[in-house]
Amino acid sequence: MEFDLAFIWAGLIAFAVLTYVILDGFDLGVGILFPLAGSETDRDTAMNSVAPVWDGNETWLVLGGGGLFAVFPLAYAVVMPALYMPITLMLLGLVFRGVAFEFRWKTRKWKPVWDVAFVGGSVLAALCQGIALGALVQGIEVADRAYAGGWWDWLTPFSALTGVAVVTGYALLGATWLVMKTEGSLQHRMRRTAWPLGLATLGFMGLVSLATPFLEPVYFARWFNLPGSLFSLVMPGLVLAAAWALFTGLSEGREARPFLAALSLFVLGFVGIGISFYPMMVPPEMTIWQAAAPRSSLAFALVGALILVPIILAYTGYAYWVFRGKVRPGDGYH
Amino acid sequence: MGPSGFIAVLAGWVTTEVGRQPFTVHGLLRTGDSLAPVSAPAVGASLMAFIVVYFFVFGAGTYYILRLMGQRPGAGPHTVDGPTRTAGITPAPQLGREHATPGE
Repeated sequence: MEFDLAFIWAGLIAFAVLTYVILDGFDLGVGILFPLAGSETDRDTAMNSVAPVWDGNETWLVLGGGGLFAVFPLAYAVVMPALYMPITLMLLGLVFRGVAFEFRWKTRKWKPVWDVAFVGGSVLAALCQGIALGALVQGIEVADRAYAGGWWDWLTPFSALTGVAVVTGYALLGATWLVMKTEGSLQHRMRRTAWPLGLATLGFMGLVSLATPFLEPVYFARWFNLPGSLFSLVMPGLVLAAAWALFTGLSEGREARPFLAALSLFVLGFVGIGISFYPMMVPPEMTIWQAAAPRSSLAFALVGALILVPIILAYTGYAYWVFRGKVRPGDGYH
Repeated sequence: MGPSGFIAVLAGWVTTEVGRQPFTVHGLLRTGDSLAPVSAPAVGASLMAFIVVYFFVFGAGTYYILRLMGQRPGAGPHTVDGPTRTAGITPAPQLGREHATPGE
């Protein structure tokens, strides 16, 4: 391990992507679960529970993508053409669910249309993020510092599996978020829904974890040789601990614990991918250091990041503090 | 005068993009050399998708803005009663219950 600017930047990008996944994950999850929320009042409440924070959550996607462009231009130039289709579809999904937050309240006749836009956009965005993840994990064909594959290479049984896995996992985050943020019939309904979603998420995590080592010899060597095989003992144990916290939290009627446990599952999944990848940025061959921009660019951009990231963290924390507590039916502004 | 702001922004943007041709980075990188290896059908399909989606979303947005502009100030059905949490929460429906279709 080499602790230099490229390594610090890889850590920052990883932090931004993880923060995006867990934050936008729960608000996309609320969108995915929208049809299961019950009455119109409960659906309005579910949407209002994420309305103050969802667009702030997407800041981290911009930071991750923009940061990648600035400091790992080679990775950006290879990954974007390789994932052109899923990323374009993801953006279109985000467009529909984003406008649904506003337009849904401007009309009665068309409210069902924007409901469909909210649900469809959320599912599409989550599915495409999962597919993009799978396509990256299975490796991207590079020749002469450019993407060398076709425009359908991203679609394989493995990427379809990760796509469905991410939709399920986001739905679990959404359900446990609503358990924490709402009361009454909606909370009750979501507590019941979180059970099968939790089991399905664990099942998908197991499937993806079992399939990954057989995609690339380097992954296999990482997980089944020392010192990496130590992780093969530790990680499943931590996942089971998080699962225990999730299900006991649900059955004991805890408010926040299921959500925190679901977040932990995502952090563990992300760490697992990091263990597979390191020191690669774009598997199977491009390392963090090969993908990095010149030293001067890394240093220049790091100054900005070290000022801005704490500010973003501070106002994000403040926003969640302001909107802490339960969301009640009818909360909205005039 | 309504759309003049939009026209000004778009005209400035077109001037920038056309004016810098044939370079992406002036004097360093030509547009023809900065192409991504994305195949033509993929570019065409995404362009069509964005055109369709933008017409739909912007069409709806323009309709709602015009309808909002058509309402007289203060004619809305709501009155302010006490402190309200405003930031970020989605707006209340701008049509009152009296506009609800029977059965809702």
